Amino acid sequence: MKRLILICSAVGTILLFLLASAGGKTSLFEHNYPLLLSLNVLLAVGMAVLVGIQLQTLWREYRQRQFGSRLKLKLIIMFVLLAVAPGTLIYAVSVQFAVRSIESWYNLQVDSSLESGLELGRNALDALLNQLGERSRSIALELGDEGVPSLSSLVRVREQLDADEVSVLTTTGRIVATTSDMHNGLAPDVLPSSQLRQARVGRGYRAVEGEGDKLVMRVVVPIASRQFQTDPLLLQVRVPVPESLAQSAESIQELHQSYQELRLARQGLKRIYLITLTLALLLSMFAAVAFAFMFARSLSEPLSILAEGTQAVAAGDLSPRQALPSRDELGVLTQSFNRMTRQLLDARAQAEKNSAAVDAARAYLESVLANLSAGVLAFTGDWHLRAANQGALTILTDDLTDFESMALPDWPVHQTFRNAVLGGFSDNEGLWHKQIEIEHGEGNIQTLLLHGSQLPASTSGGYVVVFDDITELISAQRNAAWSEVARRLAHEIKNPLTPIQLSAERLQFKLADKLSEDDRAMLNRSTQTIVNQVEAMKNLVNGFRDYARLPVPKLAAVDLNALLREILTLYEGSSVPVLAELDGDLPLVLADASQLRQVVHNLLQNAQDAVTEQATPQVTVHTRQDGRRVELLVRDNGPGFPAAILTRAMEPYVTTKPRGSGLGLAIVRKIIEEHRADISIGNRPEGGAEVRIRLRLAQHEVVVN
Amino acid sequence: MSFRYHEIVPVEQHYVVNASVELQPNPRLQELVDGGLSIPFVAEFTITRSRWYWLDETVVERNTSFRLFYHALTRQYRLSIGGIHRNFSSFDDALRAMLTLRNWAVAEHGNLTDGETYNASLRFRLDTAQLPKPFQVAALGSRDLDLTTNWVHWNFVAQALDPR
Repeated sequence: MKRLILICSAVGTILLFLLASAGGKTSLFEHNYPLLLSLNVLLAVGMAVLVGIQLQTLWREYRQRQFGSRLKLKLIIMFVLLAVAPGTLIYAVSVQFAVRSIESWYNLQVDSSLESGLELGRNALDALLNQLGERSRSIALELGDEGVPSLSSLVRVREQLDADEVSVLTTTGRIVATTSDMHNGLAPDVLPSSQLRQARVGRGYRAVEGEGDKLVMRVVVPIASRQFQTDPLLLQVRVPVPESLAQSAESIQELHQSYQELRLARQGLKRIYLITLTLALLLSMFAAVAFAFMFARSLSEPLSILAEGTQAVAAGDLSPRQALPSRDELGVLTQSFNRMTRQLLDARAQAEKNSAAVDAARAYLESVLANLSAGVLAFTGDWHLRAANQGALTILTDDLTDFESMALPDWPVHQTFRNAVLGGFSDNEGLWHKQIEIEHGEGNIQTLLLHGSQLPASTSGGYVVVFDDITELISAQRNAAWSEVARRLAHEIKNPLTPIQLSAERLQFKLADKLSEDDRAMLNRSTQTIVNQVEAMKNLVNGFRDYARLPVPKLAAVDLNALLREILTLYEGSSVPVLAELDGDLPLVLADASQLRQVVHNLLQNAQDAVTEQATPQVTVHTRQDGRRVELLVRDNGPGFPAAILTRAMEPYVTTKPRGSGLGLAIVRKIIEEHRADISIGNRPEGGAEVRIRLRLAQHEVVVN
Repeated sequence: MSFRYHEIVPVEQHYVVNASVELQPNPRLQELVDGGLSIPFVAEFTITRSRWYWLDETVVERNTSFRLFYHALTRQYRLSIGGIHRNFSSFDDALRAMLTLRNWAVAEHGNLTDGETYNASLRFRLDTAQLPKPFQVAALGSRDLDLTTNWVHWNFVAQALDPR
């Protein structure tokens, strides 16, 4: 488009120049003027079409409210006004000027003076002609006397009149005789017969004729003959007009002719000027509009780029835009816009990186907190819950839903905890530690260790409470203490037992014969009681010792099902039958077979003891694979564990049996813990107790090792 | 303008064209001539021979210029044909003389082959290119100055006169 406009403008300029120069008289293009004109018109139409297309495009853009189109329109209107207004003014002035000056060329004075000059010439010629006519008439009269004039008399007449040619003709145009000073042998020029007939009467024919570039007077007069002739003769005389007069007259004639021509051409000239000027106006106007489009586009283009850029930036796209290479302010503007977006991009990337780092750190902290077995609660300065980790929820066995909206003193539950925390913070400055026990009813006591800490005011203040459920820990400590006690007791008690037993037996042996029958019987009974009790005490002490000195298990791959079947053979025919529901496809487990055997014995013994009072006693042993563990379940339909001792059932010396040592489950638990396996006890919903042991797979262990 | 008749005939040494052009009375033309303008006319004549294998061969191409103007000094109309001037006392006479082509020698006998068929084309028109520029512009859209006959074409068999 741009190139097209440039080409059109250049061609238009050339054509206009040619058109204007063709106004001169002697031009190459004088004869091609119409062609030139039509070319110009064609070009003007072409440019009009170009401008029209551009206008239409702009209008469409304007209607679509495309960005920059308003500015473009404004610029174009400005440019066009700037170009068209002066152009139109010059056009109007030029047209007026040209038309008026053309009019002014033709004034009446020149016209009439030329006319007078011409008339003067005519009169001069007429005077000469009349003179020649009169002389010719008189000569004709003289010649008439001769009858048919002789050639010699014609020559004489010619010399007398200083004529070019003297001829005698008939009225039909036949030449009777002729003489000429031009020896070219050509026949003399004869008038048409109609004029010859007219020449017979009156004063004859008189005329000045142009012959080539000179003027010749021709006079034809009748030769009045006395002899009657059917065909009267005519005398034709042709005399050149004197050269000086002829030239002057001819120059006046030429001037008059060109003036007349100009006068006639007046309208055409006006039209030429008008057309040339109009074409010049149209071409320059269209060129101006077309260039206005170009300039407007080049001015508004950077704005479009900027607009596009800002829209893209607003939409979040910070990719670099095309920058104008120009070095003016608009180019600088786009370049600095690009620089700005680049900086924005960098800044955003930096911010994203930072926030990602912060997020990662927070996520790390959160995961650490979440995976902490200890509970963490954070409170705001006015005791509203701000954060709680998974450990806290687990320990408090509460979701703490909606606790954020109430202050700690208003908590409806966890009162012990609440009071302890409030008390801790009110009694202490800074860090504090406290151990509390929470009664969950039915003798179930949870022991918590609280650590309270006040957050510094710089981090908006608040309180943090970290607490551990140390129930298990205490239980373990108790176990350890019991082990120690058992070991010492076993050691201290067992030593005197044997002398006591031996002494009692010796007393019986020595005194039995010396006593009466009654006394001996009494001695025997007492001795027997001592021995039995010592034996019982020994067993008890052995039990304690066993508990305290359980050997380290020698772990190996064990077929649990085979082991169970072997054990269960011992229980065949016992008062309480033991049912086995064994998973046929069980992998090997990692265990010490002899210790596991003791575990099973203890559990079955407990179960059998529990169900003795039942009408239909039932004890079952299950095995099954549960993920990467093997579960061993021992169930009974007895009364189950009393709720009061459920949490402590596996601690030593906790028993429901009147004669139990309270060491059975304690040993079981110790063995299971040595195996790094899990044990849990509980009551089944349909009644009865359930002990669940989850053993590790031998295969898995091998792989790990 | 149209041709009243047209012909090409062999005379002693030449082929000559005789034709007559009919022109409606044209006051504008007379006005221009009376006003002093020299009106150029041109008669164009070509003889072509058709060739089946190529474009037609142009054998003869002749143009004759006419100029008709008023000589104010002598009050006569002048007609220049080539370099020859003729004077007429009335415009109509001069016009009639111009529109009548007589014995226009267009070709010599040697130019044409006897017995061959040729195509002759003739046109008579106002030579606007020779007009002064203002009148060229004026002639552009003017019906009065749109003075041209159409080309007339006719075939003839070249047959030179027997020299005897």
